[in-house]
Amino acid sequence: MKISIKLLSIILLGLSIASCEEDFLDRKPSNMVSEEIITSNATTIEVGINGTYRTLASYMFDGLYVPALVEVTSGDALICQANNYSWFVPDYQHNIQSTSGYAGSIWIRAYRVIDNANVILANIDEAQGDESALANLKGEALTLRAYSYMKLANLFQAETYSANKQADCVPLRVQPYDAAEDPGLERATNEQIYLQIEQDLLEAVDLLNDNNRTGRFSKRAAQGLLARLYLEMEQWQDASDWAIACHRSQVLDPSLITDGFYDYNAESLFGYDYTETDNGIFASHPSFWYYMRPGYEGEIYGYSSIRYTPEFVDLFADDDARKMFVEDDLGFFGSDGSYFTYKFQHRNDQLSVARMIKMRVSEMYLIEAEAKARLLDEVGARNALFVVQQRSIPSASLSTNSGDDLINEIYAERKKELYGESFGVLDNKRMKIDVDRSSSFHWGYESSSITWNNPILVQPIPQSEIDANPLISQEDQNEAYR
Amino acid sequence: MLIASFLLLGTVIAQAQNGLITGTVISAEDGEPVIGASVVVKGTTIGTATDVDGKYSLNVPSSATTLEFSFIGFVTQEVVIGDRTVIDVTLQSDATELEEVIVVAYGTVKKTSFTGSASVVENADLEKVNTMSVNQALLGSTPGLQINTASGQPGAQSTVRIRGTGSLKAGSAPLYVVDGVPIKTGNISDVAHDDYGTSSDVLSTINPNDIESITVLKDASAASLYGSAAANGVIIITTKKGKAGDSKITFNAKYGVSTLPSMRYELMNSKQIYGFYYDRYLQDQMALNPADIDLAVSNANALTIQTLTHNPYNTNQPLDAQGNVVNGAKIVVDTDWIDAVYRTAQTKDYSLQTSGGNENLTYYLSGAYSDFEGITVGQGFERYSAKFNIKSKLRDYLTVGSENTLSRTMQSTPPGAGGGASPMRMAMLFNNAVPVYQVDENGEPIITNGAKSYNWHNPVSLDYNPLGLNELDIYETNTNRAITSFWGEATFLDGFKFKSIFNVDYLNMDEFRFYNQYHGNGQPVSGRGTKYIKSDLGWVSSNTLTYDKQFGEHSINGLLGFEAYERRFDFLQSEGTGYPDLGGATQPELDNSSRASEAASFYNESAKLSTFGQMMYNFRNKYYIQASLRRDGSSKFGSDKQYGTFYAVGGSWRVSEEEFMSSVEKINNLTLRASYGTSGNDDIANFAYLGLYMPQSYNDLPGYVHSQLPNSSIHWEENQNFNVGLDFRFFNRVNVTYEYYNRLSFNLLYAKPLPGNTGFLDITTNMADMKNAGHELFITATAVATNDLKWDISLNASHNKNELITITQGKQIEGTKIWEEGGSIYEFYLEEWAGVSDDGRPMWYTLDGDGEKVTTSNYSQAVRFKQGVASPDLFGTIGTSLSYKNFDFSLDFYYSLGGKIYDSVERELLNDGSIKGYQMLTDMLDCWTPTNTNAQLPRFVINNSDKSYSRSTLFLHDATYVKLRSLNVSYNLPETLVSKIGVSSAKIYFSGNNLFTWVKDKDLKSWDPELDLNGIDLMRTPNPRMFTFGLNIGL
Repeated sequence: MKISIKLLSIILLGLSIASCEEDFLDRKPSNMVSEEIITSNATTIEVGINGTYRTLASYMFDGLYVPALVEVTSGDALICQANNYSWFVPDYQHNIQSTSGYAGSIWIRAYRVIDNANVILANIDEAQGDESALANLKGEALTLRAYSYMKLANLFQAETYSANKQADCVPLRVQPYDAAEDPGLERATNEQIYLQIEQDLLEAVDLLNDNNRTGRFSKRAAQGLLARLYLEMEQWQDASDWAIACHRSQVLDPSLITDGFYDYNAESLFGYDYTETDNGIFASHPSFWYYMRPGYEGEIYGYSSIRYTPEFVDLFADDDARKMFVEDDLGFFGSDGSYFTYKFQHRNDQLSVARMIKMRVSEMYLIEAEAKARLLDEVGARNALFVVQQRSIPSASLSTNSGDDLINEIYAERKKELYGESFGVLDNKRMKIDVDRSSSFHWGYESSSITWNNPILVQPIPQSEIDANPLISQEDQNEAYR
Repeated sequence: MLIASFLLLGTVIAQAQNGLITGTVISAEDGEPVIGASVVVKGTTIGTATDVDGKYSLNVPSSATTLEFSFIGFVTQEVVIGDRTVIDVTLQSDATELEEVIVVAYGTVKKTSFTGSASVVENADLEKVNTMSVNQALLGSTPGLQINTASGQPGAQSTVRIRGTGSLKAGSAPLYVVDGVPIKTGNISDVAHDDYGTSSDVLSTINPNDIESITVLKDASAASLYGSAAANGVIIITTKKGKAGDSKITFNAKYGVSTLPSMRYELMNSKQIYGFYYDRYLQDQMALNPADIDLAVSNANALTIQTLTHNPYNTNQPLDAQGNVVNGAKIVVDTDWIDAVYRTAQTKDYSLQTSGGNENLTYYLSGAYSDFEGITVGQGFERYSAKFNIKSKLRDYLTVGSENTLSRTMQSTPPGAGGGASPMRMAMLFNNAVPVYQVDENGEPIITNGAKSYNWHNPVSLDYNPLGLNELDIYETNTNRAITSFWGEATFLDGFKFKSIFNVDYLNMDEFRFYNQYHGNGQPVSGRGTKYIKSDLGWVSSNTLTYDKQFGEHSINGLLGFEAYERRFDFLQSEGTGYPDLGGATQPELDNSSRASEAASFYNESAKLSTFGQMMYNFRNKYYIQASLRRDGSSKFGSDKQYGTFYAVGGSWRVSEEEFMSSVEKINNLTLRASYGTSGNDDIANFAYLGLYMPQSYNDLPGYVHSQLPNSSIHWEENQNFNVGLDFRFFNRVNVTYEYYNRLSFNLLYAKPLPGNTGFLDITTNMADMKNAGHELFITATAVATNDLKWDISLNASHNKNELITITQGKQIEGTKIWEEGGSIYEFYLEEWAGVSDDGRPMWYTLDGDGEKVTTSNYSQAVRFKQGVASPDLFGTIGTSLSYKNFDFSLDFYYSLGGKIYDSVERELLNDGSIKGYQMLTDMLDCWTPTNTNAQLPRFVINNSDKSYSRSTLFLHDATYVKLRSLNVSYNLPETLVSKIGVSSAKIYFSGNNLFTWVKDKDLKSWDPELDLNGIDLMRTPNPRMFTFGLNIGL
């Protein structure tokens, strides 16, 4: 019947859609790619490395949280009492819990950097492309991993390396994670972690180009990291040797110490390249430290809640170029007599548009000084120290201190040179110098002196790690948070 | 009793020396007498009612010509008296009651033959609630259907659950089908996004006025035919269609007013908060300067003002050494921020509907406009919508049709929840000393260039003011939607029908967000404008072949179908910063920005192929059996996991049709139903099985980072549903439906937490099993039914118990909850408050060495315990409706018994001194001090480190509440008046919604205990109280 045929054809039309079944159900994303693509050749690996730097530079990791935490837990810096919008207050008061947001954010990001590096390192030897480019990329991956482990160790280790090599550190992961096969990781020892860092850096320093490409690790940065590492491990000769290999007797320029820290200069060895669009805006390093430099008429401000005690400011000689402080007597921010610093500025006075310098040549001279002082080469130590002092203080003269006095002078110089640059309480712990909270400007908690190995100076292992990791339990948590 | 009184009434009204007529009234369906049927002399009030044997006796005047016999559920019959004295009548049952046809999966079916669990909500019930959202109109209408609208922002999403939450990470919302086609629901907005505590539900593009009925499919028998999308039940929306020969034009107008419901948070005024801080600062200062009282007083005043950020008094030293107000000092700033941010809002709704046709062509055409202002400053929702449905019988065997919905919604959604720019948050947390405008020492706004300036200083959010930002910032979401279906249905041979539908659901959303360059989020970058353009295009081709045939006592219905579906989502975002300062004339569009700061685009696709079939058989309209089978293939899973097969089997037995039941007269219907079946859930992200790197640039160089771990074994979640039900109707007045269900979901997809040392916080895996079991009861009763008066009562009650059966690692902590085998996923897991210690510190419970509960004032030592489930034990509606002549009145109470609420708003309003300057509850005035040691709240110390108000059961309350959800009064203008105006019908009505909430726990201060399923109260716009006046005219 005519009708049947018409109907039959309608039915067949409907069913014919089924014929494209083969790829009808196969769809792929338009803005994400697979691992095989990223690890295939030098160009793609570089893309993977670029992404990894961005995680490292995140304000929730090394862009803000790490520098802020190590600074406000020390004795020289504080959070202002009024209008601090609750940023970093419990940390400043050494009153945090394992559920602290900062510890958890730092932990996951550090391990993301490590995971990205692990995947690249596991595949780079089979990748195609220019040999020297691949070698440099391998060096970058190794340094990224080592740097992340250094941050993790410094924040989460139960005790410092020099105090106890066998103390609990952080889990050591150097292979890409396989969800099906992985047996889980417990906390490795300081020794295991530091040996891995040392191994990664020693391999990297030979692979990296010596081009000081800004925003990325280069040979000189790896040399500097080795100097830092050996200083922490108290291998003084190695520390001194690598510090010298890094600073290369470069002359320090007086004008560069006050140039605002928002761009690279000849003394920058490594830093983060923030663009106008990917900095954390209010949640950025300069936002928290910044105060308008004298003479500035405008109204740009960030949180500006990190301050310094008058006792710290008094450490500086009056003609010390690094004495970049203004007393807080502004009604808006709350007048409490502590000091703002204008060391960290913003480019074109635009909030948070700034690069972040993570390592400078002058640090290397200070490492050399400290290492040599420990090796009892006090002449060498004083000379290295003087390089840093005379750059900033026109009236400086060569030190005549020795023994503990020399060490203390080097400690004070480190503070004056490197305040706000992610050292803070880490220097206290490494140099076994108690945290001095005696300034009357400290507020909100009880003791005026905290011993360098007090468990409250250690960050808690994030509760989420303990909850999800069957090999780390509450008993393995750092002492102050059990 | 009622019958006796009617008989009495009848005899009194009956006139003397008139004819006596007697008779019996029986029901056509079962031959049984109809008790209480009304027998009235037409055109008069002379009447009576039948007795228990269906007999009546009535004295009629000689002028009487016709008797009218009527009863609920039966077609009214008129009988000419003539010269008879005995008139027996057989009443035909009203088809809508027992032969009611309901819309189900892929077709319609008689209610009596349906073995599944389905509830129908008619248009009349939807109209009782004045809302622009279909979901909100459904609240309480159906047992087992739980709707939580946590935000009163117009156009906000509701959380909808049928029989509990069946999934952990995949969607748990039901499938929505409109006129036979599944549509997209949910929130795809970026400006009104979860992160900001706001939402824009695309379901609000559908105008509830156009809905004829909604069927909620709850069990396997009902829903399995939708296969992989049906695990959470199905909500079928049927829009209005024309009827042959019934030409209608209706005009509807509504005007309403919404206000903030009663607030139970008692907040400090300026004097209280000033005094509170001053007393403590004074104490501290006296200790520091014991000799110099004046200095202490001066410092204490200065510190208080600094803390509050503004001086509410008219002098710098308003309080003295005793804490008293000095002479001449008075409060000049006492801002009621709640009043400033919330307002009385207006709602307007106009619609015009026309329908009609003849046997060959029917149509329905409507147009509507709605404007719902939100009660929070800056919130609004407007909708233009049109509907055009047409059906045409081209030939005897061929019918075609088309349903079309067009709508445009425009929403403005300032952020909610805890966002810094959230006006709701600012309203709660700004203390009263903070002025809205910059003011002088007398509290008068300072006028510059003829205008007031906003005050941007406050202790809560740097550089924000909710009213100021409202004038300068923009949050706009516009949605354009077209849902179009074309279908053709052909009948052939004897009993066969083939239907083919092609449907397109096209959503286009354009959004704009502007952070001004002067204050707030945009200030550091001189203004930030972000524009989003998204489109979501889905098409479905659905073809079904049905066979329907009656062979003597056997009845068969068969269905075979095939469906293909594809969805593509396109996204574009562009952002610019660096806007010029042109005073008030700066234009926010991106052309005016000087720097491009973001350019992003991507698209996402998914597809599905399905084949399905169903068989229904019944014997003698007494025994029914139904079976279905469906096979779905989805693009969301890896290539060897794409297909899933789902089936269902159901049966029912109409006990009341049995011989042995024929003597039981009172029972009109007794049916037992049972069903069992499986369905699937694939409502997860499109590419969850792949290992992926996502873009993350560095220094303007392209970069990618590892963002997702692969899991090629991910597959469908599966549901197994068992349902047993009883439908009972007796006295032709009372309907009872009871159901028990047991719903097992397994291989649930969830984010299995990974230790952070892997670089990932979680990985999606099928690794849990869960059960939802419960009871549902639905009772409706007609208490009175006469010509003039009708009184109905209805009640529904639902109880659901959620239980996690297995989960890897046995348990997992999820925020404030614990997921543990054997427990509910809504079990609160919190530190337990133990009161205030003797020296004013907070106390929580911890466990000592022997596992005994002891107290501690150190929060790190506090142990978490299970604290009860957020979900209610029982919820439902009790309602009544009365109609008397032309008046209609109805009342609905929604109740929710049991469950718990964690009030984080309360938490932010309590402060032990660790945060300074925020608003506080007046409860704080009674906190512990050395002279007030019997306090409920611990001590307040400036810069306190006690952590008193950390998460704990202090903020956990019983969630039992009863809400007067709607009250409706309407009046149908009488015939005479109506014809004078020249229309065919006119109704005016008044309705009140969300009028009053009674809360059991007096300590629960939440505005509205109707929260999302998590039971956590956040800063959000509460559901408003609404008063609406309306007019409905039929031409």
